[in-house]
Amino acid sequence: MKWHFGILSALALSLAACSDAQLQERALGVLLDEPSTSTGAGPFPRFKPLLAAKRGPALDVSIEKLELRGGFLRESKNGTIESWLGTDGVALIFDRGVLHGTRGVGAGMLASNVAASANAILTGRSQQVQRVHTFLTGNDIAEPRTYTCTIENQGTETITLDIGATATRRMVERCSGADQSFTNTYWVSNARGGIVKSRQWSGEFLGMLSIQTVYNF
Amino acid sequence: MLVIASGVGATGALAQSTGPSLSTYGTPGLIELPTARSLRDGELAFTASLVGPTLRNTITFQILPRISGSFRYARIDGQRSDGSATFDRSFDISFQLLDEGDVRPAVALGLRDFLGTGRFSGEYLVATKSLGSRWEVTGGIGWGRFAGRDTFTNPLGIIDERFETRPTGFSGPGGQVEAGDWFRGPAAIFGGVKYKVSDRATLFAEYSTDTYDRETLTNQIDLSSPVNVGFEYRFKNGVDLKAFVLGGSEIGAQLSYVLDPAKRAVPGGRETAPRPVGARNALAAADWNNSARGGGKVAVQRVLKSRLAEDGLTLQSFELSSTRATVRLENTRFGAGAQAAGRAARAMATTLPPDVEEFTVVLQENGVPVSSIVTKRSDLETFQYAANGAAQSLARASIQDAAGAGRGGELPGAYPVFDYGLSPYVAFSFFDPDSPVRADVGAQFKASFRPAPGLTFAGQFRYPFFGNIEDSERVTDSRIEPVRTNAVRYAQESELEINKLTAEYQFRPGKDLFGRVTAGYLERMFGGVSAELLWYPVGSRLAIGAEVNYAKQRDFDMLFGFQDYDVVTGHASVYYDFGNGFLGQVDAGRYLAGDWGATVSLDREFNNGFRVGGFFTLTDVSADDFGEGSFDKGIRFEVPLSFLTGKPSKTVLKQTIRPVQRDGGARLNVDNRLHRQVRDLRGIELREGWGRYLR
Repeated sequence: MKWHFGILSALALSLAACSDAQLQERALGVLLDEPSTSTGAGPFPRFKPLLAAKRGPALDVSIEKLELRGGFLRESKNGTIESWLGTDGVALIFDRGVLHGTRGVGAGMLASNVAASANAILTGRSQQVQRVHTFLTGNDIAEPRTYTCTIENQGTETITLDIGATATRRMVERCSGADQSFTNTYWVSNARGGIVKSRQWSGEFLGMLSIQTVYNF
Repeated sequence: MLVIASGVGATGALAQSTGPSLSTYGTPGLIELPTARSLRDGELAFTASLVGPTLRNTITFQILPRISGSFRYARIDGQRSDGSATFDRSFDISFQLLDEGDVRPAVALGLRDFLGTGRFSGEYLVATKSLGSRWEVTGGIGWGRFAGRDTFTNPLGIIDERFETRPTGFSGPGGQVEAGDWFRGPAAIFGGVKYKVSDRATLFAEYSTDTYDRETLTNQIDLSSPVNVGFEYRFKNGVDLKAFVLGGSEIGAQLSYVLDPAKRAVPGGRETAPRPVGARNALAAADWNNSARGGGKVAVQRVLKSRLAEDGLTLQSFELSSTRATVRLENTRFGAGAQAAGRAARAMATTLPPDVEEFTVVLQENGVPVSSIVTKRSDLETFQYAANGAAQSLARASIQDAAGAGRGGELPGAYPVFDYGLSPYVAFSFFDPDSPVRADVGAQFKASFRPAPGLTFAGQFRYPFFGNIEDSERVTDSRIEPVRTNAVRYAQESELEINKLTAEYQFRPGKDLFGRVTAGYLERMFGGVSAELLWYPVGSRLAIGAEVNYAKQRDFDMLFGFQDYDVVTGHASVYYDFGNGFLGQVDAGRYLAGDWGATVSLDREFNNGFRVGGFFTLTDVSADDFGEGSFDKGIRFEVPLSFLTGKPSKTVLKQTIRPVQRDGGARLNVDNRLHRQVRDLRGIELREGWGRYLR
């Protein structure tokens, strides 16, 4: 079955997706004579060439708390860090599939150090690691926070992706820091060796993201 | 316990539920009485309460962790001789003396209505102690309005007999610091308890010593007992609704909301993602960098310009050597200058040939270079994904004065710049005795033309469609030159308003210096010439400025004519950044009505641009000649639009609230005063906003 990646053409992950909010914003813009920042109809300009290039895979991402969903394509790769761009110009940054940063979705995850987590998850080791997330606060201050995480290999699990049943290893990472705690889950493909599906915490503002790899779009 | 259990996983709700309850006076309290609790540092509390014939609207600001200030606007029905309502403005200040300990209660000292007409005046010393997680007990001693019943001789009489009597028979224009009355006269003991039923519901009971003497005399309130009881419910959106019964029979209600200016609606912002900085060697193959395919400086410039434009950055000049590149640009989008600089550096790093290593971004305002930020391209590549990239890139960036940047490399077609816009507008008039808020609504047309850097011809025209400012019966009763109190006549006698029509020249006379000359119709009520000079080194806490104006009063029709009154007015100004967001300013000189004096202002600016401040002006106009309020004072708020929407914007919503606008201590409202215009780009602000550099 071919999975229809309709979300790639919709304004889905933007927090402005709610029509009420958009209307309010347009009204404010007119009232305050704001310079327009809209890029016209359709996807974000930098997204168009990525879509045209048809180089996959894509990511299907949901913000669970807001029930928003959007498609992402890889825009750049720097060593182990990949930046994925969404249809409406938001971006998610990953270190080998582990969330490293967010841009434009409102959650202020500036950057992270999740290398130890990624190493353990990809090699299937159960172990304790530390990760650092730097958040941009509502007062524009970059605030680094350290979390201690316990990673557990929960064994094999067959999940369904758009390409069909996929054998994976399920890895669970339980993290706690001074103020927050969260649990991430990753499914690592046996055949491909990378994370093909995950549920990851993006910070207090948006909470959990559900991320799934889509090969045919 | 319940409180702890339900708090897990709901940090937002928990954070709200730990804030203090607010009294009908809008300060931390029970029902009417104060407690020794305080808001969190920087928080703003808005309260509206209805008590018998009294409506009170209060804004309380936690200025420092231990000091809070309040401004209150109250309507009291039936208090004038003709039975109509009277309006009252008052200020409070409160000091947290002791924090709560295991045994020790929290203790606070407060002065209520310490300026103004003294209608609510009272002083108190109060202690509050939590007992377990649900009970809170408060007791205190009060003077003035807090000592209406069961009073006893002032214990402070031990120090001086004068304390035993409180001066009465207040008269005069109000607004003065009535320090001579504080803590004088009989005292009384008050107290109460608070019981937390759940995270959302709270019960209150208190023994109040406020007897509402005036309102009782006019039979508008009936307090048969000193006991008040109340119930408060906190909604999920953070709004508190309180219902209460005073003295056994008077029913009242209150709404309150606490806002933390340090928390924007969307913490990280909703701007679209910046371009990732990739491997620069790949750029050697890009068409615009490849001379065999028509590449070269012109092609590079074209690509760079369009990439900067995606981020609302207008490229005005571009200079490229083999290892260095400099851009001059105007930022039209980002409230944080650091973010504009970061986006510009990224556009350069994703466009310029691989050998270019040093980037200089010159940020301009109105065509005038303000500061330049020099960064290494390799730093951007190294730190763009680093967990502490903001701090590391800041440590390695250099922020310099951009004076003398010249016009080298200017893009053809950079000038002239023409801009215009048509928008609606709302103009407010506050605290008219008959109607506290008046407003005009209409259409506004703005246009500007800049033929060369710094030289701007600008106009702002307004046409009010409807409104009620002109219905006011407030005519000037000034004993001095009516430079501001004729506002109603301006509204009545104008139709199409030429709000402003000016020629302005801004320039950099030298290193660390900024200059401005403006001529024309400077503001609604005055035209003339204004000249200003500012000294402001990069990264300096201190800035010094001077301004001289010749101003002539405009005709009430707000067209081209002038009235007879003219004046030379001007100030020497000192600006100081105390750190932690506190900014002080003193302007000394001659005001519009020809009076001499000084204005003292203190603002607290949050890193995200939210600002709360206050000011007062003392001049050689006597309190009697000044009229109501005795001297000019007010509070002001600035809320960046991005605080509300999360989208990047340079738009800031500003409002100054004066209890009363008189003619003494009035300043000319000329546009583009220099300090404000360049401050965000002069080092300290750029550094404080650096969290957004890689955003």
